[in-house]
Amino acid sequence: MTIHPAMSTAHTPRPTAKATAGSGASGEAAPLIEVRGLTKRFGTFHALDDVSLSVPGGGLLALLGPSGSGKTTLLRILAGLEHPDSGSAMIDGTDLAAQSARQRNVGLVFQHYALFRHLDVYENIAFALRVRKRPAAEVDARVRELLALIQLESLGRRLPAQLSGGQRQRVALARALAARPRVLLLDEPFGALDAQVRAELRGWLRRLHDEIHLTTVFVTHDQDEAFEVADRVVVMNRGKIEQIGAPADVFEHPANDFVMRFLGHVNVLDAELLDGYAKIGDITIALGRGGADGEPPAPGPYRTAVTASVIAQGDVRSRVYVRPHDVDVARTATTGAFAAQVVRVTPLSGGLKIELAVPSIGSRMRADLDWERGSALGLRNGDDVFLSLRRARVFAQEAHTAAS
Amino acid sequence: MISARNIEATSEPAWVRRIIIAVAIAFVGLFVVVPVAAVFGEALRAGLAAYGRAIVDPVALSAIKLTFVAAGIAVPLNVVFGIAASWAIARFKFPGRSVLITLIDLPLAVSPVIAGMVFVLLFGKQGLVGPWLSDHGIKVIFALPGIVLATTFVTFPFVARELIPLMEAQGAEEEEAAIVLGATGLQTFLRVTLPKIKWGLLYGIVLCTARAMGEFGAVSVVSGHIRGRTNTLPLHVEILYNEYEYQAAFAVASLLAILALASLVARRVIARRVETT
Repeated sequence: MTIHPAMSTAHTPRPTAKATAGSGASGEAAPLIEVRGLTKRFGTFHALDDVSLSVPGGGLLALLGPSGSGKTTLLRILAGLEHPDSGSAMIDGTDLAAQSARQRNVGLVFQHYALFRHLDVYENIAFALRVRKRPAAEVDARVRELLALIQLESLGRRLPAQLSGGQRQRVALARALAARPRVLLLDEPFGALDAQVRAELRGWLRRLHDEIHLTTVFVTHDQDEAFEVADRVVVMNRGKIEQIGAPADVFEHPANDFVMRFLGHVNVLDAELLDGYAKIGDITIALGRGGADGEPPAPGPYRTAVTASVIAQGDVRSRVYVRPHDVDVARTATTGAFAAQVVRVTPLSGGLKIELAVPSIGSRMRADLDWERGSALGLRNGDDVFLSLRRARVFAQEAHTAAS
Repeated sequence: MISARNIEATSEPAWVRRIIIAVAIAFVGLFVVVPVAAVFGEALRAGLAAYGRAIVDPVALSAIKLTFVAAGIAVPLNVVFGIAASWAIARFKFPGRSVLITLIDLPLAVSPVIAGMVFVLLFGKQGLVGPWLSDHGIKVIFALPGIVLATTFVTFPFVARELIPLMEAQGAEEEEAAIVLGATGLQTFLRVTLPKIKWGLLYGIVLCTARAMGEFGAVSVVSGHIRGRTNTLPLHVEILYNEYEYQAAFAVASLLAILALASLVARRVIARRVETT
């Protein structure tokens, strides 16, 4: 597994009170979520279409996809709030079909928190223990422990309406953890928060997970969030899984054009595929199986370039995908470079975003340059420049012959 | 400054404003304040002693008792029905849902007299199930069960109509959260749903109670006006009035007016709580 940068901090469980806060079973065999052939329809809409997935114990998995991709439905089936039309879901070897939502003991955090508005923070967190009729002393100890974990010790008597969005989110999380669930499920956990609070809570959630090692699945439509927090990402679209992998894998080796388009901005260029070459407008670039930087082809349907079988058909129309950071901008012409004009220069964090008009292909492209390169070029609107593509991707399943 | 100008832009000349306000106040005065004052004025015309006599009269006391008994049965029934119906309508999509929503309003659309006659047709001597009931010694019409039935029918929209929009607006997420946290259905209802809807429910109960105690038409048809046995407060007022006992009639009517004013105050207080939660 690829180590995500955020995981490199404090990965060993610490034997503090916090370390046992969420998983009563730390040190024992960790639970495992196993989903097989899950299908769910709402009327004619396929929310989930034969989805299979497994989550290793202690893992932090992100379900990433646009709205309507089925990710929330999958989460709600695991929680027991929806029932699949077919397929099965197991947690730690127990078939969930045999358990009602209240028997499953999963922690669920709702997108809009769903805190009990008439109960204060303390009683919200205590709820799962109160309905289990635990002794008052045990409830009190557990609630105090969780209030400390979410750093809201002094706000126990506040009502949810008196809290900020970020505080409500943390209370919702503490409430979900109170009964020491086997897995933690989060539905768009930061969706309703402003950007700064989101960033703060993401880091906090990741650190929390590293401390309590509770198997966690969270749903998001934000790829930055998925990449920053999760150690595995499941990209979903129209009720199906498009790709599963570590964040870096998914980003570097997208399985298909959907994943490519969904994970950040991409330049999409119409092209004609010839034997070993792609013709884009008036320039031709060589296609290799391993891509420009010589990496080996990844397993599965993904190719950094078309397969020989596609090329052999000859005269194939397809699309070429280029990330903005794979476009280089130069003042002087080189072979295989597009002539272009700078339309707009926008500063980004860490560099410049350059929008360019490319007359030979009749469309616009975007190039992202780092500060050093960007300031060395000193680009202004209207400047004539030349673009070269460091790395371009073609997806085999998208190519079709001109004749058909 | 901007808001001041906006007010000016949408406001009428001063004399128009004054006329509109005067018309509104005159209407309320003519149709509400004067009649209510007249009720109390007439009730106390012969002094407090006569007022007291009219109320502690055994027949009047039995009417008061019957009114409270009928309301005491009809209101809880409608609370149960109102919660069940609004729960079903707000939380589930089922065939007949829109029919149910429409039917809940039926008692508000149908004249209460017709509602009373329907019960006579069903449970009376010549009615559909009346003969079977009287064979088994059960008396519905001209007895307490008929009065309760008529009262329940006339008042059943009030709780449901308060709760349906409230429950639809609140959604079911908190209930889902409770169930995932391990609560049973009953625990979810008592610990989550009931506290969420309590002010709306209370508001509905106040409306329902006020109407149940004041209902005349439907109860009049099924009661049979048996003095001291099947007369409710409004029916008792009518009888006294028809017998030219004006002072006594208004004294008993003043009780109904006090009930109405009390429910008005309760509604104001509760409505504020409904808005803030």
